[in-house]
Amino acid sequence: MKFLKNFATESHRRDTEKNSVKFCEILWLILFFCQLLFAQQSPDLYFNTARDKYVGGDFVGAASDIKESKQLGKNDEEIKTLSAQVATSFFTAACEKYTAGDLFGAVNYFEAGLELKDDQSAKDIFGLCLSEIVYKFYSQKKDYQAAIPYLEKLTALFPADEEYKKMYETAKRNIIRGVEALPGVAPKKDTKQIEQLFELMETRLQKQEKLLSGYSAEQQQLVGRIIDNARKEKDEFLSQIKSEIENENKKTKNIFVFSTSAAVGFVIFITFFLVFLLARYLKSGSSVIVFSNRKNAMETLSKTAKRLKMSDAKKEEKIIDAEPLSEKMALSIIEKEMFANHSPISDTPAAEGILNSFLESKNSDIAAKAAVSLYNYNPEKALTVLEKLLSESDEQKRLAAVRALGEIASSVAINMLLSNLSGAGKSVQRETIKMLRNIMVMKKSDITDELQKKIKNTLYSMKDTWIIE
Amino acid sequence: MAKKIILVSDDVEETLELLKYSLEIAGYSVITAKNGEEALKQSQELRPDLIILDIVMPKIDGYTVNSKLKESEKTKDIPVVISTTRGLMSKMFSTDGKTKIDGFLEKPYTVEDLWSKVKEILEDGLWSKDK
Repeated sequence: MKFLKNFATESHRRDTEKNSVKFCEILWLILFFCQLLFAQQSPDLYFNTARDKYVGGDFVGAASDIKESKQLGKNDEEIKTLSAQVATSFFTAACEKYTAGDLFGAVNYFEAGLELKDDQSAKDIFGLCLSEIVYKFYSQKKDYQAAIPYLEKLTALFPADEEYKKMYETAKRNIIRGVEALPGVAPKKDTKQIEQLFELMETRLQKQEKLLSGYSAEQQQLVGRIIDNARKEKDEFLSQIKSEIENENKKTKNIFVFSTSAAVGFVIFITFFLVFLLARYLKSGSSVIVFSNRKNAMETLSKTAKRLKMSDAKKEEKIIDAEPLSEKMALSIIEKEMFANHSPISDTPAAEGILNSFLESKNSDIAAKAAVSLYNYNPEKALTVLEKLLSESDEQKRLAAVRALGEIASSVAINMLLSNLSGAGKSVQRETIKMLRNIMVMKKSDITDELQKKIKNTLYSMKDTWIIE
Repeated sequence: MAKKIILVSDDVEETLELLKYSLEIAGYSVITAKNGEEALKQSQELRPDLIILDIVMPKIDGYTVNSKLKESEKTKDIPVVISTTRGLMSKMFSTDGKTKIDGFLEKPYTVEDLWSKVKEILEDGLWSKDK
């Protein structure tokens, strides 16, 4: 029984303790929530967190808490000072954004700053920044509709400003004509009205410039930059618009002329194309040979010669009258084929037959080049040709012969060069010295000591008048 | 009017003598350098009115001398004439088209060619104004 009584007493004590603990917990929670509720609603607490956020660099958070604190009734010097500080930070950030080219970012910061502090100079700069955005929409993006909200911001910022109001109304009424057109359809541009708007902007910007005297150096710099940019944008845009309109007019006027010209041009093109095809066909013989192999060289050469009509009586006339470039090309191709693998082909009469045609060329360079090739088959004949060229009155022919003799560089050729020096004109002399000097440098081992000495002595004898080495 | 000074640089003694003699006859004061190093030193010290450089020279070649002259504040405005053969000249053009070269004398050339080029640069051209 006693045990039961004790048990009952103990159980009651435990229940009482449990209930007591529960009550305390509930009370503590109620107190906690009350504290939270009242603390959150305290303007001072908002102010304190705003100050902490400002110190920590969170200006947006600070601005939000300042707003809350003001709404809860805090309006003392303390919060005014903090507001001004945060606003200044926003204005600085706005300037930085502007400098970085982020105009829209600058707008956000200006707006945030002006919510905290009514600063006239910041307003003025913000107004200019908005003006520049309007210009950008007009000139770069051609998005007239998008410019309207920024003009609205301007009118809200300066409600008493008649000029901004006029600008906004002008834009709404006149410039945005056609803006409601289907997406992708460009609105009509009214140059006169746009020009008027820009004139208004210009007047406004000039006024703003006068305000500069009251600004700090940094602000003045920023305003100056905005004004410059705005003017530049204006000029570019106007000239672009004007040129677009002029072009459109020109296009319309010239459409008939263009069509007619195109038709005439087409006929001329077709005619030239047919003439080109015909000329190409006539000259085509010289290009095929390059692709033939050495085994069939002579066969191909003969075919080419036939194509070029070199085997009949008309061949010389044909080749000599040919255009120098194609003649040169033909000789070059034939030479390549003849001296493939660095050794001349064995069919001497055939080779001579082909080269003969080129020896009589009116172009002295081609004749001399052909003589160099001929030297491999018939040296005597080649040197006779060159000797004849060397005695010509035409300087170009003599120069070509000197170059060819220098390339051949046999003992006979060298002696011809040496005897040519005296009495030759200055250009021929210069070319001969060059050839002799080259022979002494490049082909010294191919010539006898006696000939080397002869060249040296000759060149030495000229050293009083010529700088050779 | 003071005589204009021309620096001639060539490793071939006879050429150097001929150039010196020919230019002195024409009324110029001539200083000579037998190699590129000497040419650079003389140019810095004496600042001549014109420099005639051979390309193939011992120690420093004429092309490098020209580049160094054009790099230096002291000598960058002195006109330089390169005296060379055609082969070397074209090689030089292909290696560096940026380096300024004021004139060429292609070997072989006569004394008259030399006078004409010098006159062209010192008396008729951009550098004709007296210092």
